[in-house]
Amino acid sequence: MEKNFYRDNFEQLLRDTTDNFRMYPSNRVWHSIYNNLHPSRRWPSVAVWLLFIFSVIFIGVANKQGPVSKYDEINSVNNKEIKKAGFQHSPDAGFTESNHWDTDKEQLLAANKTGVAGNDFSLNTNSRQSAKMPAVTVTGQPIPESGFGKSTGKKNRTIPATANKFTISGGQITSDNNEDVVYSKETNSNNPLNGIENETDNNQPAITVSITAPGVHTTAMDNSEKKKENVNVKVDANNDKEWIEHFAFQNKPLLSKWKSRARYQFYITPSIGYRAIRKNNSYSVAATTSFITNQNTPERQFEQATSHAPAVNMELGANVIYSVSKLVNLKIGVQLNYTNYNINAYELKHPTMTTLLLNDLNTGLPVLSPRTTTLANTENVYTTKLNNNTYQVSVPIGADIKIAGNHNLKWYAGATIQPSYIAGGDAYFISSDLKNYVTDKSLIRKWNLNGGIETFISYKTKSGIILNAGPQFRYQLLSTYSKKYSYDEKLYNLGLKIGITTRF
Amino acid sequence: MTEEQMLAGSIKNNAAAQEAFYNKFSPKMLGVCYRFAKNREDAEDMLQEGFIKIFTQLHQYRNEGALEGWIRRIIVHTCINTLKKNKKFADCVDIIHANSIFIKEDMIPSIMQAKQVVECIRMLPLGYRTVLNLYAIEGYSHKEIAGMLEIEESTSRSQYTRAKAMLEDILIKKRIIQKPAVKVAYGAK
Repeated sequence: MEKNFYRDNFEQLLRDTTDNFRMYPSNRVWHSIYNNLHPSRRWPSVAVWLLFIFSVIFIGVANKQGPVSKYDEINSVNNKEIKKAGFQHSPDAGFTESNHWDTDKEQLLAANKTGVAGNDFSLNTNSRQSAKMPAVTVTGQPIPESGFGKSTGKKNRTIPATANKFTISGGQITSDNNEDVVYSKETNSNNPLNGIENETDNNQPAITVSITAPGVHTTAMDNSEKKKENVNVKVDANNDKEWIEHFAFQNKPLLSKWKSRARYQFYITPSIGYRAIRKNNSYSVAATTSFITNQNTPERQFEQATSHAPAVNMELGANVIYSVSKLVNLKIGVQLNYTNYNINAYELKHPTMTTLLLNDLNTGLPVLSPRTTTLANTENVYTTKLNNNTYQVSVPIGADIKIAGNHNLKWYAGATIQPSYIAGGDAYFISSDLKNYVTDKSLIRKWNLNGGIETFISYKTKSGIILNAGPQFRYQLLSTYSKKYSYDEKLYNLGLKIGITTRF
Repeated sequence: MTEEQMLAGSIKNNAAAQEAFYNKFSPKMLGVCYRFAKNREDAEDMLQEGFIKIFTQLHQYRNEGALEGWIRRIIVHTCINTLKKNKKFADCVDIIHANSIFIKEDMIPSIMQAKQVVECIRMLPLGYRTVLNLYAIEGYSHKEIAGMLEIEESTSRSQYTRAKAMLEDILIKKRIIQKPAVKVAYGAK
């Protein structure tokens, strides 16, 4: 290179030299300028975001509402009647048999059917049910009027309990004493299906009971209304329990299914956090030149030269948990993280020049970036404590597996992967000669990936709220800093996760 | 696309013209920003802010003087405003501590030509560097610099003198420039 000789016009030398200096900005700059100048062209992405937000809000609102359709109302009434007759509703299995099954079974069936029939709706909308089925005779125990009172819902209906038998045929209900709806007292407790007799000769295992409302006498309902109410219920002739479960399954709204399996959780995790340091070997050490000092500083030298200390970290988050089975829960949520650790350093009275060993991503060679600083690593008069910290927003996605437990107390093990956005933080870097600290937030990586493993005990209280507590280990999979920095730093923390879980 | 077409199109908010305009001037302007900024990322932020100002104020350009000079002034002012947002900047400009800074020869990066000089300038403390950039390279007077940085004119002068001495020292050590040969008086007894 031809040397420029010293000349009096120093400014001219600088001007001439620097005028030829050009740098090519990254595409990000132009995109930002473009978006700023043409905000209207950002609408597609804005619209997608708005759609997403409104969808989330809509789902949230929809989940908080009770049964809104008549279908849901009827289903709700039916469930109450089933519970009243001795069955307990289980969110996972639909129905479970109670100890009163043998004695109350027919009552349950009658209550269920009559309760459904007494409402103003038709299950014919269910494509899985067929309206065209042979006529059948249904026998069963009389239902207490109080039970019908609930099942008939809005309309005041009277259902006679004096008749012994009623027949459903051709969409009409007839009884042996010419009253509108009758129940036979012919019951056989040994056979739970005796309450239902198939009048057809084809021995079909499944029977469809069709009840047409005009045959049912109601005090409020006028004959001129001609309003039909149809119920189609598929019954498995071989197993009435399966019939009940099938009925519950068929009549369960999808939203209820989802809601019965989903829960939401809020949690907080105080923890102790520290870092693991490793030399960043993403550049060629062999290609380094002599002007770089201490370029081969190994991790051991780094640890010996520095005085770092763990500090208290914090996580705060909310999850939606979905039970895919009795053993496995999937979860996704949003989590705020505060990570930090301390650095013992010294403050200088005056700024000093130092250099930071960086990796030039264009050439792959290490470069020394000149910096000024007032922070020293070597002993000095004024001690100070620095804090390397980050604020992160994570989306933990993971699963919990039940290891052991009973209905109220369970032991789980879980793992999550957490894509994280680093919203801010402070970063102090050791200089290339290990004698100073330099701050440069721009070297903090904006996106990172964390992994977490945990085990916890969950206890279900009488009110249905589930309390969780257990240890959690979180490890940062990518370096805190960009590839430019000469060291890889992985944060980790061990904490106690405390959560509260409840249903939607 | 000629400069006039780019200018007219950019004023009409034509995206293609604006991109051509940006592509023409951004490399040089990023070099300007880089001399003021702490690092490349900061320089790009300055450039981005500067070009947004340029495009929004382009209609005010009256064809008086070179377009590049007008753009450069906006960019420099943007850089200064960005630096002034930094709380420590005022302290950096006011401090007089040239003697406390010692430049080791091996601290100076081995880089090429123009970038070599720019990197040497960037080795200066922030206050020195800013005044030197404004006075020696951008051509502002000490009075203007004092107004821009909200400091005394005398401070600007002293900062520049020290910055110049320090930069000369760095450039000599790096052998980018050489000291003049000492004149020897022959025949003297």
